Amino acid sequence: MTVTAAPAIPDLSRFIPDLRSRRRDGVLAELVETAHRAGAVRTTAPVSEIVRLRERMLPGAIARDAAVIAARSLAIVRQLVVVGRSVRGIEWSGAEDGPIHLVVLVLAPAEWTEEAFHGLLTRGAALIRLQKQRQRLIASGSDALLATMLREPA
Amino acid sequence: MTTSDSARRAGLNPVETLLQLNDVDALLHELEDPLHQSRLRKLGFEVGTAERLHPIRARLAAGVDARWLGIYDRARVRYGRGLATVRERVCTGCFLTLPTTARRPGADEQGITTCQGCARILIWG
Repeated sequence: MTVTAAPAIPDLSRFIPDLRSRRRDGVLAELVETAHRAGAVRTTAPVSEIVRLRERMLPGAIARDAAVIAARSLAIVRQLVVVGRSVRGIEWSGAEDGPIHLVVLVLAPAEWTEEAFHGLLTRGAALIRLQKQRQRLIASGSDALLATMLREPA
Repeated sequence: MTTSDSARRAGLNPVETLLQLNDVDALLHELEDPLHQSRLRKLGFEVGTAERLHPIRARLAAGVDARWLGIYDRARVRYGRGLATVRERVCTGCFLTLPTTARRPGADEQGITTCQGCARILIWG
């Protein structure tokens, strides 16, 4: 009898407890680098570029102290949601209510349809829509909590 | 000045430039589609005008050799995407298994390969 190990459930999220950078571009690079280390991004340069461009076209500061950014690119191998927390806060142009403490990066491969991509983006945005959710991530964010929150109905 | 001069100045090889062009085209499509615009607004995003992306696209397109740009644009018009990644020797655009003679261009080569099934430009993963 041959016993084979079942494939692990793909790891679809990452939580960064304390972002090193305090500036927007530095934070974006840090998030993309984390996704690269997680195996979701083939090469960082084109993803960083499209993330920056998308942030210019669709400013991500949609909640009081949090931002959502996204990218769909051929340089992305699989979907991933990366959430970064900054205790000190990030200077974010376009954020009217002071520094940003939570940044959500939503990544999807280019093969995904826009509908599927927006579905994932909706889940990413749901993480920070309510203050209660944001507080949960700011106070006790972890990989496990993020995975649980992503599974909760949007 | 040749068409690929600006890309060379930016330190990008033709494949990287095409990859960025493909991403910009996808973003343009998303921003110009009223249905997607309304979805994004619903999520709380302030949707900017896509006009600002056109000069960026033009700059990237100027960095690609005219021959490859023609192939890319033809495939984009026909299928919606001009590039496709290769996974396990399969083109993810049309799911054709590539012949064994098709190979990844070497690191020192600036070569670009196309799929024999759909003619999309291949990005080797």
